[in-house]
Amino acid sequence: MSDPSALLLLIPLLPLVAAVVAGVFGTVQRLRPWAHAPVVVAAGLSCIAAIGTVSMIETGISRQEGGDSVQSAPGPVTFPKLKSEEDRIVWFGISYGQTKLTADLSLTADHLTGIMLLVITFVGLWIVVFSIGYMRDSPGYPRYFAIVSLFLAAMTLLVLADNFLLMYAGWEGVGLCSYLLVGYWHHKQSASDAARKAFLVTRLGDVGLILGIFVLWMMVGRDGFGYARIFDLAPQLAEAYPTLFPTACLLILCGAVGKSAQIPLFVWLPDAMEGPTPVSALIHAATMVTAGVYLLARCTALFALAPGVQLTVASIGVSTALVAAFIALTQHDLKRVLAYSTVSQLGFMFLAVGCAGPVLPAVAVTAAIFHLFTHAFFKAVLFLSAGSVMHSMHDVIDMRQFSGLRRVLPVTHLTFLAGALALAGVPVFSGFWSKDSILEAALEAGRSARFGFAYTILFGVALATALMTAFYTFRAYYRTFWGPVSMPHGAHPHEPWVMTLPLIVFGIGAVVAGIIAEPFTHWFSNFLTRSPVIVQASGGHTVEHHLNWALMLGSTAVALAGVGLAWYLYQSRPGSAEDVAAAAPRLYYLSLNRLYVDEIYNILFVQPLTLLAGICRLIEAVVFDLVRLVATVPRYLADVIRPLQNGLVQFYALSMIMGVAAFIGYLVLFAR
Amino acid sequence: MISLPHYLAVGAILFALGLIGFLSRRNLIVMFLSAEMMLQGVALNFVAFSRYHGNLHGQVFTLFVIAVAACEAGIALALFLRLYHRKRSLDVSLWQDLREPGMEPTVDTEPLPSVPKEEPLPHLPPAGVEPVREERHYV
Amino acid sequence: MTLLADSPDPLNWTVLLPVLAGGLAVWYLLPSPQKRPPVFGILAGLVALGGVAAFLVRGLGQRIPETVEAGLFFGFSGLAVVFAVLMIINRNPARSALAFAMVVLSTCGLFLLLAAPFLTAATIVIYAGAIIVTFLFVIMLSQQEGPSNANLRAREPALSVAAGFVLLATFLVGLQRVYDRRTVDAAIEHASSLARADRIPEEYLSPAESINVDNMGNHPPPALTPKAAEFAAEMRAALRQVKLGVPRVGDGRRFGDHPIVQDVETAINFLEISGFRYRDAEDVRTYCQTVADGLQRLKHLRQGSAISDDLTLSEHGMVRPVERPDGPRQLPAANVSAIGRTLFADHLLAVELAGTLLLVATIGAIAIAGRRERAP
Repeated sequence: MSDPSALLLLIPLLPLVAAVVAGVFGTVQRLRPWAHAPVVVAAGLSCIAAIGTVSMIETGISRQEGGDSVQSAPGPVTFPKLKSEEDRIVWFGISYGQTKLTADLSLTADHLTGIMLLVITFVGLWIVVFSIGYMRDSPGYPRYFAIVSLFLAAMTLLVLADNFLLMYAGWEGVGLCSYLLVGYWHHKQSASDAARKAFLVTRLGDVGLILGIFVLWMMVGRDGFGYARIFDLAPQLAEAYPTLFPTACLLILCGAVGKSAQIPLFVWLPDAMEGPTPVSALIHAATMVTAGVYLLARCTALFALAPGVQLTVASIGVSTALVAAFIALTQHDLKRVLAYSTVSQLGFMFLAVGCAGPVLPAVAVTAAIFHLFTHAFFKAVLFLSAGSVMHSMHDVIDMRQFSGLRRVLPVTHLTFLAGALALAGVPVFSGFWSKDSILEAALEAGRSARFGFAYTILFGVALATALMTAFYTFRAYYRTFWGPVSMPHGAHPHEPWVMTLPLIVFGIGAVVAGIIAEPFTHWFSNFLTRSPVIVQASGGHTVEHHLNWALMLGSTAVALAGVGLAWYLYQSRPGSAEDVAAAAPRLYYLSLNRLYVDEIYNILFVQPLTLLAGICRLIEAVVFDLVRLVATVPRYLADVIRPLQNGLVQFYALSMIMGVAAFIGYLVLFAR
Repeated sequence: MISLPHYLAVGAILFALGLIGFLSRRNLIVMFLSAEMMLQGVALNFVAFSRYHGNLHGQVFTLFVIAVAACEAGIALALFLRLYHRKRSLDVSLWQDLREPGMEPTVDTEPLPSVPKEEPLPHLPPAGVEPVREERHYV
Repeated sequence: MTLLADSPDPLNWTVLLPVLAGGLAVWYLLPSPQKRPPVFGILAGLVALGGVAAFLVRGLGQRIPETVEAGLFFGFSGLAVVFAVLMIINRNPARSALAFAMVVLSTCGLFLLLAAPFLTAATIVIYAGAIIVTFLFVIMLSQQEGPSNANLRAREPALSVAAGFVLLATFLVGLQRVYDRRTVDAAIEHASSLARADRIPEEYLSPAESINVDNMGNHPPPALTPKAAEFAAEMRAALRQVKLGVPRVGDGRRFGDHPIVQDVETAINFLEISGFRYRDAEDVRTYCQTVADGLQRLKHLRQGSAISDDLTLSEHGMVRPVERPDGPRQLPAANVSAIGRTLFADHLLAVELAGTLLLVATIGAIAIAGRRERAP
C-alpha cells in the first residue's frame, strides 16, 4: 500500500472481514470447527498493525512522494491524509441554509489511541485463542467468533475515530456486540434477561452521550464533530457558554457512566457475567467497559475546564469503587466477585480522570490510562483463570462448591495468584504501580485550592477501598485454591494448551507490565503525555517524575493488611469468617444482597413504569375498542358484498359479462 | 346476394351461445369448447367484413385467430390434464380456493339424479384354446 | 310494437321473439339435476329458430334473393346454430366436442359462401381436425365414471342465459338500427311526393276556421287531420332513427343537434302549427321539400357516402368518410396467393410473432403436461 497511514484502516477492517467470513462460512457444517481461524488471523494481523501504528506515531512516517522518501515528524497518524478538501471521505452530510452537518469517515491514531489499540488487539488476540479451547463444545461456535471479531472491529473503530459521530458508531457497535454476547446462551432465561438489561441500561447513558455530542455541535457549528476543532475551541466555549458547556460535559459523562458501569448505572455489569467467560474477560473487564474512561480521557480538554463536573466524575468514581468493593466482600460467585472488582477498578479510573484539572491533566490521565492498561492484563488473567476453573468444574462457579484447586489446576492457580496480587496492589506487581499513581493524583488534588477538602475525603475513601479490594481478592483466592480438595459432581479438571498459553501470557503481563512500563523507565507516561489532547489540556506543562515513597509504603501496608486479613479469616482459621458475619448480620446481608440496589431500582423505576404501562394499556384498550367500533361499520357493510368473492371462476366471469351486457345494452337500447 | 348483416347476426348468435356455455357449463373441456365457439363467431364476422370491404385483412386476421386459438388449446389442455391429476375431476367448481377468507365453500346441495348404468357391451367368449404354460421345476 | 313491423322501436318482436324463445330453450335444456322432459325445450328452440329466420328475412330490412346462395346460407347457419345449442347443452363432453366439430364445419360452409376457400380448408384441418382430436384425447384421458357434478350441473344457468341473451338482443337491435333503412326511405318518399304535388291533398288540411294566420303562435295549435298527424309522426320517427348516426355539433361543452336535424324539426313544427294551411301553398311544399332533403342528407351522412364542409363526423375532429358501395366488392380470384401476399407484405411482423407464440406454446404445453406428479 502506497500510503502507510492506510494501516489504520486495516485495524478495524480485518476483524470486520473476519467476522463476515466466520459468520458466513461457519454455517457450513464441515468448516464449523475452523470458524475461529479467520478471527485469530485477523486479530493477530490487527495486533501487528496496531504495533506498526504505535511505531509510526513514535518515529513518524516515511512515505514516497514523487520518488522522494519524505519522513514526517513523529506524532499522530491520520487516515485519509488530508491534502485538500476533496480528500475528505464524507460519511454523511446534511446542509440546510447556513447550518451544515457533516461527519467524516476519518481515522486518527494519537498516543492515547495507540495505547488503547495495543490493549484491545493484544488482549483480544489472546482471548480469542483462549476461546478456541473454552468454547470448543458450545453450540453456535461460529456465531461466537463472528461477534467477537465484530466487537474488535467496533472497539478499534471507537478508539480510532477522529470525530464524535464516528466514535459514537463504534460505541453503539460495541454495545450491540456486548448485548449479543451476554445473551449468547439465549435459551437461558437469565442470559437473555441480562442481555436486555445490559442493553437498556447502557442505552440510558448513550442517550446522554449523543445529546452531549449534539450540544457540542450546536456550540461549535460547522465541522462540529471533529475532536481537533472542538478541543481547540474549548476555552472559548467555556467562556461563551457558562451553563451549556458543563451541561455538555455532564451529558458526555452520562455516556461514560453507562458504558463503564458506574453509579447509578452499574447494575448491568454483574449480570453481564451470564455471557461466556472469555467475553467477560475481553468485553466486560479489559476493553469495552474502559471505553468510558477512554472517552473521558479523550475529552480531558473539555472536562479540565469544568471543575464542578470533574469533582462529580471523581465522586462517582470513588463511590462506585467503594460500593462495588463492599458488595464484592461477600459474594459467593467467583465471577461476580471479579465483576464487582471490575466496577470498583473502573471507579478508581474515574477518580483518576476526575482529578484532571485540580492536578495537571497529564498526571491524572496518565494515572487513569496506566491503570486501564495494567487492569486489562490482570483482570483478563483473573477472568480467564476463573473461566478455566469454570471449564474444569463443569460450569460451576459457586465458591462454596469447590476448594483446594491448586493441586488439580496448577497453572491456573499460579496465574490467578499473579492476577490477584496485581489486583490487590501488592508491590512489584503491575496493579500496585497504577493504583499508586491514582492515589497519588488524588492526594495531589487534595492540595488544590477549590475542592481540596472534597478530594482529600475521596482519597481516604479510595484508600479504604484499596484495603477492601485486597481482602476480597484474596478471599476468593483462598476459598478457591486452598483448603481441602473438593469438587462438584461432574468436574473433570484439565488445562489444554490453548487455554494455558493465554493464561501464562497474561500472567506474565500482570506481573511485569507495570514495573517495566512506568515507575523507573517512565516509558508509558513519556509516550502518553505527548498525545496532543493531553498536551492541549495540560496547557503545555510537562510532568515531573518522582516517586512518592510515603504513599507507596502506605498503600503497601494497606494491601498487605487486606491480604493478611483474608489469610487469617479464610486460611488460618477457617470458619472464623462466619463468626464475623454473625457479629454484624445487617451489614453482611446488605453486602450479600448487593445493597438491594436492584430491588431499589425495581421500586423506583421499574414498578412506576410498569404501572404507567398498565394505565396506557387501559387507555389503549378503551381507545382501541372505540376505534374498533368504528371499524366494524365498513366490516358489516363489506359482509353484504363479501359473498361475491366466492372463488368460483365462472361466477366472476358471469359478473363481468353482466356488467358488459348492462353497459352495452344501455348504450344501444336506451342512450339518446 | 346475402348481405353483410345476416352474417353478422349469425356470428353474434354463435358468440352469445358460446358465452352462455362458458358461463354455465362446469366441465372444463366444455367451457373451453365454448370459448372456441365464441372465437368462431368472431371469425365469421371477420370473414364477412373481409368480403364486404373487398380486401383480405379480415381473412388474415382470422388466420391469426386460429393460430392463437391453437396455442391456447395446447396449453389449456395440458393444464386441464394437470388439474385432473390433482382432483380426479374436471369440475371447475372444485377450484375455489381464492375466495374470501373465512367463507364457506360453495357446495351443491341438490342431489344428482341417478343415471341408469349403461348396459355393458356383450363380450365374445375367447376363441381357440388357451395355451398351457409349461411349468418348469428346477430340482 | 307489432309483429314483424318495420318500426325502429328498440325492442320489437323480430328481436324479442327469437331472443326470448331461445333463452327459454337454452335455459330449459342446460344440464340440471332436475329431470326435465326435453320436448318443451325442443319446441321453444324450434320457435326461436323460426324467429331467427324471420329476423334474417324481414328484420334487417334487406331483401333476400331467392337464390341457391340464400338456401345454402340458411342451411349452414341453421346447422351452426343448432349444433351450437347442442354443444352447450350436451351432458357428454365427447358429444359436445363432436357437436363443436359440426359447428366448425357449418361455419366453414359460411366461409365458403364468403369467398374464403383457404380459410375453409385451414379451419377444417386445424379446428375440426387437430384441435378436436386433441380434445377427444383429453376427454379420454380424464374419463370419469358415473354421474359427475362437472357434466350434470350448470353454474347459475338462469343468470348466464339472461346475460348472454341480453347481449345477443343488443347485437341484433344494433344490426337492425344500422341496416334497416325502410322507415327513412318511406318517409323521404312521402315528403317529396307532397313537395312535388300541384296542390296539397285535402285530407292533410285542417279546418280553415281553426286557423288564425295573423296571430300565429298565441293560439293553441289547430286540430290536425289524421292524415297530417300520421305524416308528422312518420317524419319524426324517421328523423329519430336517422339522426342517431349523425354526430352532434358543439363547442366542446354543450352539444346540440346537427343544423340539418334542427332544420327538419323546425319544418315539421311549422307544418304542424299551421295545419298545412298557409296563405300560399308554396310554403307548405317548401317545408315538405326541406324535410325530404334533410332526411336524405342525414341518411347519406349516416352511411358515410356524403360529407359537408361544415360537418365533423366525430366529436373529436374530422375523420375519413367510409367508402361504402352498395354491394360487396370484388375479392381477388386467386385466394391463397392473395392471402399469402397480404400475410407476408402487410403483416410480416404479426406472422413472426404468431410463429414465436406457437413455438412457446408448444414448449409450454409439453413442459406442463409432461411433468409426472403423483396424484394425492
